[in-house]
Amino acid sequence: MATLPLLAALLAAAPQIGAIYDDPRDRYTLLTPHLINRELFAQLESPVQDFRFGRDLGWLAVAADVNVATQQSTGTNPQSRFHGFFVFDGFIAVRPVEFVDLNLDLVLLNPSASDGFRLSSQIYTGVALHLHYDEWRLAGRRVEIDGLGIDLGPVTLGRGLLVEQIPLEGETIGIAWGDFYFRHLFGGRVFWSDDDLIAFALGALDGRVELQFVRWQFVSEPVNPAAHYVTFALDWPINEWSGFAAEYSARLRDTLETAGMVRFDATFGAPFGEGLHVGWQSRYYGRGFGPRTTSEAPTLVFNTPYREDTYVTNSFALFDVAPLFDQWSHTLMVEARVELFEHVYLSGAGELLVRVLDNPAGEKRVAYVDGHRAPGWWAELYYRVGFEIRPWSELPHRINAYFTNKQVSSADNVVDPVRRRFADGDFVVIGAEVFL
Amino acid sequence: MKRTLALALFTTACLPSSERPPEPGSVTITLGASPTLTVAHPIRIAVVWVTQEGRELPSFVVTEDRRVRSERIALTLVAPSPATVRDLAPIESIDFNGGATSLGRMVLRTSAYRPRFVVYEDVDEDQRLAPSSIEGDGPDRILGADSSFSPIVAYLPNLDLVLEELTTEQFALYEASTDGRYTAFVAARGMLDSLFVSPREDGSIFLDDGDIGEASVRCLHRLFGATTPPIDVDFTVNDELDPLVVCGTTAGACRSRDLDDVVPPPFLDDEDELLPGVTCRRNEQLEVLGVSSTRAECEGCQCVSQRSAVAFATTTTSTPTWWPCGDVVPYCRGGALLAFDAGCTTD
Repeated sequence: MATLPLLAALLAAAPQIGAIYDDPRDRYTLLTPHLINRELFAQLESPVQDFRFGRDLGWLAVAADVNVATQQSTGTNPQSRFHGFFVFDGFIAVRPVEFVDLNLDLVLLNPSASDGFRLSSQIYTGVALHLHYDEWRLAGRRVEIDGLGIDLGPVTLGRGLLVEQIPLEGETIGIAWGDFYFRHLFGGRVFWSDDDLIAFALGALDGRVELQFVRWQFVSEPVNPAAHYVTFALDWPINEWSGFAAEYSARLRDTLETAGMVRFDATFGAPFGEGLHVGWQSRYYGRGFGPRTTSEAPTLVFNTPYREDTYVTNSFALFDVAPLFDQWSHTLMVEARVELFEHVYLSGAGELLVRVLDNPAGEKRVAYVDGHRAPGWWAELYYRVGFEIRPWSELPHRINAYFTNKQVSSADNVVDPVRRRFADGDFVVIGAEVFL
Repeated sequence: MKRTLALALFTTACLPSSERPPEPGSVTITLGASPTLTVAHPIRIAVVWVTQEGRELPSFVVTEDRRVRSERIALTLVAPSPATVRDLAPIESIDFNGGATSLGRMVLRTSAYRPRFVVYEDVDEDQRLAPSSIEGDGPDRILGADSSFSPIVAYLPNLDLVLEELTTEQFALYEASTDGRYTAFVAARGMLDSLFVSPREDGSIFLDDGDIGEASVRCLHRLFGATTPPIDVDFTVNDELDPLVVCGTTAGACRSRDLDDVVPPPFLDDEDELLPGVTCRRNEQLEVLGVSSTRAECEGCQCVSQRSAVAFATTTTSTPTWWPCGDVVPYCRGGALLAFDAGCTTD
């Protein structure tokens, strides 16, 4: 992708995005895009990953991101669950024969030094077998066949109107012919313990346009009948440093409920220092667009600090009150990193989210959403500002010290479902990250 | 207002606001009455808010008082003044049970008050509740009041604070209990000493000439039971039978008459529906028709059920012409012939 060289220069630790099959990660954000559990060989081939010890071991590739940090509340709010933690996110990929990758994501973590690792350390593993065959040609164009399962890592459908960077397990298969592709995905446990996601996508122009059919089904049918969506997504780079994206979706049933989003992104290098990303996205979800008929709040599992590197704006929160209100959201996203002195960077990320909830015509419902009265509107600012110290200019290892109000919300175990993605309150976080 | 998607995406020109007060509540109440109840004056129903400020007797405020013209009455519920709300008694706990979710069972407990629905005979016909016992010395006679055993309505004095705390599942329950309206009046049910928000249902009030309704209001729901006395049975046997043999020692009164000469007891209501407490039992030789009734009588806040029955016995071959058993009234299966207060299972 055209913007990748610029971003790669901005994010020394960032893996390259775009060359990976069905890559779910945000292409423009300066929030850290983490490694995913597929095509590790390809991810580590990126020039910005050439420091990895295990990038070139023949049939084996190994990488690990390690984050050790402490977090303290700066106000009256309590600490979040990850208040003295480590996260070791290790990846191993084995290529026993050509076209076959066996990928392992091994996550070791302890969210609470207060508990101690003997009490609260946790281990999670995800395995993804990836079959990729691209030796055939048809009418002069290469045919690529992919099959991946069962760890899908974070999944984004379209431009994220329905699902954006939500970790799933299941399977996906795809066949591409030149710039055109057909993909199928099955994912279990998206936002509810009883839901499954089935998607079929037709893409063209290397993914710039995509037509998708989605069936969101529930074990609790017929109380919660399956929701069927048709979505059309557009992902259009404007030039090397900016792009436009849009998605429209209709839920198919007696009454047509719709949703849509548009997004603009721009990234800048000099003269703005190390880098700047400015983005704007607006979303609309009509009442009843959400997949679930009965009112049960969506929940998330696997709540690790990685979530802090995604935007707060997400269908997850909007689906919570989808049965009640028409919803709009407008989000300004800004991330910047400036080198203050040699090895010392000022880093900041902000997300100004305006949410608007209104009753459809003829309804007079009043409810409270995250403490805000609806119908109504409110603005929320999520921030993260602080310093990065990179002792080795050529290596991404860093010491972080920052203030933030965006701390992942987790129960004792990160796989226990939670209703809120982020904990309330202001925090100071001090830690170090090492990339192996 | 129909918004288009494009408009939704690019403008939010008219930002919504919900700065409006809660709507009134509503409830529909069905009345039932004892066949023995007689009234000489108009029957009215009042929505009563009982307050107590440390005084011995509670006082009350009425926000709705209307004449009863049918068995189903739709009432509009509005909250009284803040000063009255402050002194409501008793303030109780009510549970919002959001059901079992993936996060466990969600229960929110908050404060609530149950406005009383009092049906009374407007003896002085001044169209105003003035009972003799609760407050003052008016002549009106209370015929019945809402009961914890029937669906009821609860008022949430701190509606918005409660709404702020509700989970998605609890809010769904709130919507079901209010028909999706923004109102402080929620449907509720009582169970033992607990109150639960429940999906909306009609309430019911049973009217009789007992005084449990009045006592329930005066005693702020806190009624105490006493040992139930034995049922008092008035027995009439057909003259071909020996009353001493049939009645034995179970009946308070027992006589022998030609049942064709007896005035039949009421066993159907105005709509030809079988009245409660009407039973028929039989064996190979005898048939027994029983019509039992229960009336609560209270002394202070202690109430007992006074049960009485009239019964008629005849042989299976010589039933009187008005005899309803087997035709209008199905026979109970099993049980003793003289079991007037026992349950009745019919074929």
